[in-house]
Amino acid sequence: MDRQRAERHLRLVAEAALRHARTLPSDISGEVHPHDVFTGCVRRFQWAAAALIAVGAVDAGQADVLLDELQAALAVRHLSAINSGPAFQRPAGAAGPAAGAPSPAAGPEALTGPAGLAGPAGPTGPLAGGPTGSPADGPAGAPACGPPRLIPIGRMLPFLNEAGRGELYLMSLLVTGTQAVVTAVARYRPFGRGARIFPRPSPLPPFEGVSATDDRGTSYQVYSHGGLMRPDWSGHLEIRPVPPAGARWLEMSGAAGASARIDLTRPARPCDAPVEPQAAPAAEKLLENVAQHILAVAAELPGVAQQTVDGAADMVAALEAAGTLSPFSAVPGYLATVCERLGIDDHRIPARPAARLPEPWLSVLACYGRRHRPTVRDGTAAVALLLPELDGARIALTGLHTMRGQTFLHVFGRDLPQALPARCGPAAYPAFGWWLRDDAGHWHVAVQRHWEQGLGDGETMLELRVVPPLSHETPCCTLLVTTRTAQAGVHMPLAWWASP
Amino acid sequence: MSGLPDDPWWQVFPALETWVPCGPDLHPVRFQNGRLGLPAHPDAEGELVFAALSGEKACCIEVAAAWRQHADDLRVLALGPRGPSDAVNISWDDIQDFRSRPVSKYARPSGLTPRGGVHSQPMHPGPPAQPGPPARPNPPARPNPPVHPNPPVRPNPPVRPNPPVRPGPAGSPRFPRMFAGHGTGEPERGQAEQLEMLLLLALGPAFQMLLSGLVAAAWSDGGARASDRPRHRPVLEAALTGRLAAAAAPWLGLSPDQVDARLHEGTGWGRLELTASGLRASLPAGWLATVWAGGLAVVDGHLVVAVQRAAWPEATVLAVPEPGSGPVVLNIRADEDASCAGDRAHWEVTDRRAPGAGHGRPGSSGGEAGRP
Repeated sequence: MDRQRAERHLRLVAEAALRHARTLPSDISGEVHPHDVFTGCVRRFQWAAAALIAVGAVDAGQADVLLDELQAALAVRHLSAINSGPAFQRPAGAAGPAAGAPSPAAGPEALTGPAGLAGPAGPTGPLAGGPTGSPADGPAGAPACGPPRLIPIGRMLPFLNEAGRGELYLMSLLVTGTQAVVTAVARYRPFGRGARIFPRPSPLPPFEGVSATDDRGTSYQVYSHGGLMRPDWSGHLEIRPVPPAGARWLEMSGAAGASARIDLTRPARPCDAPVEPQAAPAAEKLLENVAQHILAVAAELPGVAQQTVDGAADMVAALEAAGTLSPFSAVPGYLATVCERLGIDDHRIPARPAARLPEPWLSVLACYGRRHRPTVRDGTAAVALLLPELDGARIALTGLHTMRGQTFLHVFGRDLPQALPARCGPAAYPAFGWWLRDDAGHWHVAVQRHWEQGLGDGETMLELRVVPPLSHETPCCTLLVTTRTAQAGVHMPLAWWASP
Repeated sequence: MSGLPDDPWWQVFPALETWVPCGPDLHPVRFQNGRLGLPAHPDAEGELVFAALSGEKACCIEVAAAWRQHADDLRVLALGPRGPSDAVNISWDDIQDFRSRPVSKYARPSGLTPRGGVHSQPMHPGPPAQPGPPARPNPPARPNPPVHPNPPVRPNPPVRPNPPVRPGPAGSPRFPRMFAGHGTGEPERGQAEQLEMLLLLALGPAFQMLLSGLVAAAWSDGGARASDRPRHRPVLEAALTGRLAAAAAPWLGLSPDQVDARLHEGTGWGRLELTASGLRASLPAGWLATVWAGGLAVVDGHLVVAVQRAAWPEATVLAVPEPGSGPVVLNIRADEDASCAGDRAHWEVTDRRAPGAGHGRPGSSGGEAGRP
C-alpha cells in the first residue's frame, strides 16, 4: 500500500470534481444548484475517500481536510453552498478500533457520507417516570469490559396512548455493564371506519406509559431509541438504571395492566460455533460489502442502488490507484456482473463481468429474477445469541423481525473494527459480511440499515436489513459472519412467537 | 534542472497594481521587482508592529502579512485558479461579509434527518447586509509600465512559523470552512487563515496567478521548501495535473481527465508522452511558477515546457509543438495592450529556432516528448 499514491489519487479526484463543477449548468439566476454540485462532484470524492479510509490508505482526518479544500475551492468559484464538516472522522469514543489505519477520533458528528443511508434517532423519554429506586447492589450482570449478558424475552406488550394503540414486541434484554437495553419492535393498529386509519404522525414514540419494575420493587425509567416508520417502530428501550445483579426479574407494564415479565436468571449462553481463519484483502472485502449493499437495496431503492454503483466505480479506481486492489482481483468483475444482472447497465466499474459469481450472490439474484416472489408472513423471533469473538469484536444477535415484508436482524457489537461513521454504509464496517442461509438452502444477505452508537465505549447497535426477507415459516437458519481474518457459522433457531 | 531559470521566475510578470479598500480609502497594492509593495504605507513593518500591539490592522497591512504568510502555502494551489478561464471571484464585499459573521456560524450543522438520512445542505443566505459604506467593485489589476532593468535575483523569504494573527470575528456562511485545522483545536486560527486566503484571492486574477507562482517557486529547486518536496508530492502533482490539464487538453483536443502529470526531478525539462489513455507528462514544479503562472503554458500552438530567459514583456522559451516533436526555442513577446485589456498575459511568437542555437542555456533543453 502506498499512502502517497492514495493521497495523490484523492487529490486528482478533487481536481476532476472541480473541473466538472465548472461545467454544470446554472439556473435562471446564474447559479449552479448546490445539489448538483454535491451529487456530481463532492459525492464522488466522498466515495473514493471512504474506500481509501476503509482500507487504511488515507486517514479520516486527512480526507476531511482534503474535502474541506475541495469545498472551499468550489465556494470561491461560487459553485457550492454545501456546508462542510468532518465527514469521515468518527465521534470520539463512539466506536471501536478502526479497520484500517488508526484515524484521529475527533470532531463532532459528521454531516455527509457517500451513501444515502438512514441513521440513528436520538433517545426520547423517559417514557415512564416514577420514583427511581436505588439499586441495592451495584449494576447488574456484566462488568463494563466483560461479555454482555443477553436474556431472551419473546413477549408482547399491548400499549395504548394518545397517538393510538398497538403492540410492543420485546425480543431480548442486553446488559452490558453500563447499560441495559431491550430490543423491541412495535406496530400500531389501525382504527376508525374499516380499521384503515393509522394514527397521525406523533413526535412521541408509541410507548409513553410503559414502565419497568423489578422483583425488589425498584422502578426504572424507560427511554426509547429508534425510529418511527409509520405505522411501525423499531429500536430499543433503555432501562435506567441498569438492574442490579441480584434482581431476579424485571416487569415491564403497558396499557390497562398488561405486563411482560423478564426472567433475569436465565441468560443466553455464548454459542460455541467454530471460528475458521481466513485471509481476505481489505479492498476485496470492502467491495464485497458494496456489492452486498447493491443486492440488498436494488429492488426497493433503485436510486440508492444506482448511487452505490456509481460509488463502487470510484471505489475500485481509488483502490487500484492506491495499490490496495490487485488488477487481477475478481471482485470488481463480480460487481460488474451484479450490476448487469440487476439491469444497471450504465455502471462505470472498470472490469469485465465475471463468468461466475459466489453462490450466495447467485441465490439472492435468483430471487430478484423470480417473476412471482412468494409472500412472506410477518413475525417476530426472539433471537438471542452471543457469537464467538471475531477479530476482537463481541457480537450479540438481539432479535429478528419481519414486518410488512421486510426482515431486520438486530445486532449488538462491541469493538467492531470500524473505519468510518456508520452512516457511510458499506465502508463503515468494511471487514464484516453477514449472510443467512435458510433451511431450504436459500441465501439472504444482511446489510446495515440503522445504527445506534455511543451506548458505551466502542458499543454499537446495528439493525441489518435481510434480503430476501425471512418468512414466519422459516424454522431456522445459519448465520455466516465473515471478517478479514475469520469466519463463523452460527445455527440460529427462529422461534417466531407472534405475528405483528 | 531546477525548473527555475537563472533569471528570477517572476520576470515573466509585468509590474502589477490593484486597489484595496483600506479604511475609508482605496490604496494601491503593487507587485514590482519581485516584491509586494504598499505605496500608501511606507512604513509597513512599523505598522505591523503597531498592529500587534494595538490589535488594529489596516487592510493593506493585512494583505501584505497574508502574502508573506502564505508565500509557500500549498493550499493556495488547491484554491487558486487552474487557468485563465477558471474565475475565482472574491469581492471586497465578500471580505466585509466574512468579517461581519460570528465564528459560530461555522459550527457544522447537522445534516442528518431525524432518521439519519444523509443530506447535503445548501448554505443559507446570510442576514441582510449591515448598513455600511456602499459596495465598491474590485478595481482591476493593471500592469504598470515594464520595469527595466531587472534587479538581481532575490532569494525567497525564509519560511517562518506562523505568527499569531488576531482572530477577528470572522466567518461567513457563504464559504465553508477552508482550513479549520481538523483536530488542532484551533478554530480561531482556522478562521484567520480563511480570512487571509480570501484577502489574497480578492486581489484579483493577476495576483492570484502571481501568488500561485510564488508558492510553486518556493517548492521548486532553490526555493525555501524544496527539501520538503518529496513529502508533498501528491499535492504538487495534483496542482500540476490540474493546471496542465486546463492548458494541454484544448491544445491536444483531449478531455482534461486524460491528462496526468508527475513531478520531474533531475536534469532536463521533463517528458511528454501521448498514450492511448491520454497525455502523460513529467514536469518540474518550477513549470508552475515560470510557465503556467505567467500565462505561457500554450503559446502559438506550442506547449511551453521551460523558460530560458525572461524580461517582461519578452521571453525565450522552450516549447513543444506536439507530443512526439522535439522542443523548439521560441522568442515571445507579450502583447501589452491585450494584456491590459484582459488582465492576463497574451504572448506572441517573434522568432523560433532549434534548441541550442542562440540563447538557450546548456541543460535547459533536455527532455523527451513522445507519441505512442
